[in-house]
Amino acid sequence: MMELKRVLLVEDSPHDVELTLEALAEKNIANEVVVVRDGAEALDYLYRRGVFADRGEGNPAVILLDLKLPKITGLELLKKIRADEKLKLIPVVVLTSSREEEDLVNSYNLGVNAYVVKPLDFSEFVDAVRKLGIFWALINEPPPGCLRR
Amino acid sequence: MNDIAAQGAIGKNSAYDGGRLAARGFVQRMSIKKKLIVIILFLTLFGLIIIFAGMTINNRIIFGKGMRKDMTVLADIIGNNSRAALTFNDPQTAAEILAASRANNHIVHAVLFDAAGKKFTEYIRERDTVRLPSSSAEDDIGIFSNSHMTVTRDIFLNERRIGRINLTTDMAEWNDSLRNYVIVFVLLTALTVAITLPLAFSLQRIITAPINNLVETAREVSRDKNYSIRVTKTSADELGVLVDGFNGMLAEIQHRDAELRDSHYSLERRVAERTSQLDTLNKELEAFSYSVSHDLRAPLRHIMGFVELLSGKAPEFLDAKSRHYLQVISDSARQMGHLIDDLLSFSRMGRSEMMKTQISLDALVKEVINGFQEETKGRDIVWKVGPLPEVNGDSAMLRLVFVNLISNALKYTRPRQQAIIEIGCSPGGQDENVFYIKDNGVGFDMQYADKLFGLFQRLHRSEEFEGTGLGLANIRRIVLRHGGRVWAEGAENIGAIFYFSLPAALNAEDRDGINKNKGGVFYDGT
Repeated sequence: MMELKRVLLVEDSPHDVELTLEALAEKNIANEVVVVRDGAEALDYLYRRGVFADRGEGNPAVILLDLKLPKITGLELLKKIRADEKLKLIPVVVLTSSREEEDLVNSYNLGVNAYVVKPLDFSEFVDAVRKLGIFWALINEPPPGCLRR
Repeated sequence: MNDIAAQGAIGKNSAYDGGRLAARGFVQRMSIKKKLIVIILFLTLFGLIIIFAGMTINNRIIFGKGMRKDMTVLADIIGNNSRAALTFNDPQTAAEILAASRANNHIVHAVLFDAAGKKFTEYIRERDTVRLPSSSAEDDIGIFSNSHMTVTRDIFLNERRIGRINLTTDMAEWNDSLRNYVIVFVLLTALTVAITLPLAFSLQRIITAPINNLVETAREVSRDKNYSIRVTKTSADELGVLVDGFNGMLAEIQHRDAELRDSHYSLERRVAERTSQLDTLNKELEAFSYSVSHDLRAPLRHIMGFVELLSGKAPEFLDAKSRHYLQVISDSARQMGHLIDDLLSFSRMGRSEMMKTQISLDALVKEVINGFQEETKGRDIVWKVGPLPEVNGDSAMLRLVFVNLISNALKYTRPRQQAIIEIGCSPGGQDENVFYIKDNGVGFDMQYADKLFGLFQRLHRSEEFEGTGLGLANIRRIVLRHGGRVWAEGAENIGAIFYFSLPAALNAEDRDGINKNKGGVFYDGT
């Protein structure tokens, strides 16, 4: 039995959070999802400070990252993660509404592991997010130092 | 013989003319400086000759008058001395008196006549025995000839004429002085030339210096294209006027040059300004489409997502009408999604750079048709695809053109039992290929043909045929960017033909190939 691993969802839109969690509910992956609402909060989580000061040690198995975020944008956050010795191995999946080539190129330049455009159609959206969850939280073997249940 | 002589004469004439022409050419080629010196020398010599000739004639007249006077006096003296000899008929004494003429060695011949006019006695200079001018006793006037002068005087005693004397003198004295004149003239001429030549050299500069200055400046201007140079004006004569005119011309050219440069700079500045304005606008446009693509899509996704969740959550609580409402909400959101996608694609087609390559349209169209297979499953479609040439263009953009046109053809033939879609190419003019896509679909009324390619323009209600009204506008944009044209023909309920042209980037062989294949058998793509 594959064990479920921690997922960090960085998403500012509460509706998107709800829809994403809905899509992940089926396989119980949602239970292991930590939601933060912007780049700054994501950094707080990763560095275990602020409201996350007393969380246990370890990195998430994957970060699902929206690009358009308040305070620190998705790309800025990605840059910071890739520049940090302790965080740079964390798999990052961009999950965005943007189809712009510029975003795509910038993301891959910064070392993103996957880039997924959120489908408009809900069933397609559910399908895509569920597949992402299954792959990254269940199938994929994360780098060492990742949080396990 | 005569002919040859005539020819010889002609030859001589033409040689003479040639000589004159050569001389004229030589004079024309001579520099102004040389011309001036030659003119000065020529005029000086001409003046000298005139003066010399005048003086010589004058001196000759004075000399002749003086000589006649002297001779007259001498004749009178001899006559008076001979009175006694004549009176007493003593020729011996008279001969002695005449012989006294020897003292004047110019007297060649002296004759004494008696009252009757008979020769009484005569004296002939020893050395002049050969030829003497004839002298008659009748003449009283000194006779000039070229070499001699003769004076005749009557001898009187007590108012009675008792005889006559003839004195002839040679012109040796005059000849001597004439020789002296010529020597002086030659010396004077030599002296004049010696003085005039250097003077001419220095005086010609008055005229040639400003001309040379002008010439040198003109040469410099045309060589360096430097129009700021000016010629220094040294005189107020015609050359001064010429210099003023030349300087004025230079100033005008310089002024125009400066104006031209100014307008060029201001043009460049304006272009730069416009470019930066355009850049700013373009950036704003990009920001706009980015936010359209991101921000407009998210709420749509939410609407569709929650509608889906709602209808999935409690189907038993919803009546048919509510489910219909939810369906409408969902469809509208989906339609808006397509609209946004097409709009973005349209804006991207206008902005993105074209990547031109050589494209085989045969292969491209086959791929596009294959791409529709899933969508057209179960439909009876006859594809007639003619041979298509290679073109030079952006592969992604041209693919979109065919995708849009073929999807239109598929869409509007949906009501047909059997859809027939023809795709082909006919070399239009000399430098373009015309492509067409013909279907037997619902067609359109030709009076709306000009609206077809407009943005958001639709000729069918969206319940009949879905669409955003952007596809053909996008095609038009792409074809225009490739340097081509788009147009369409149609008839309601019969079908439509959409044409677009692309500039031919073909060599002659390829074109021949197409011409041969034109009208050949279409292959069935299904």
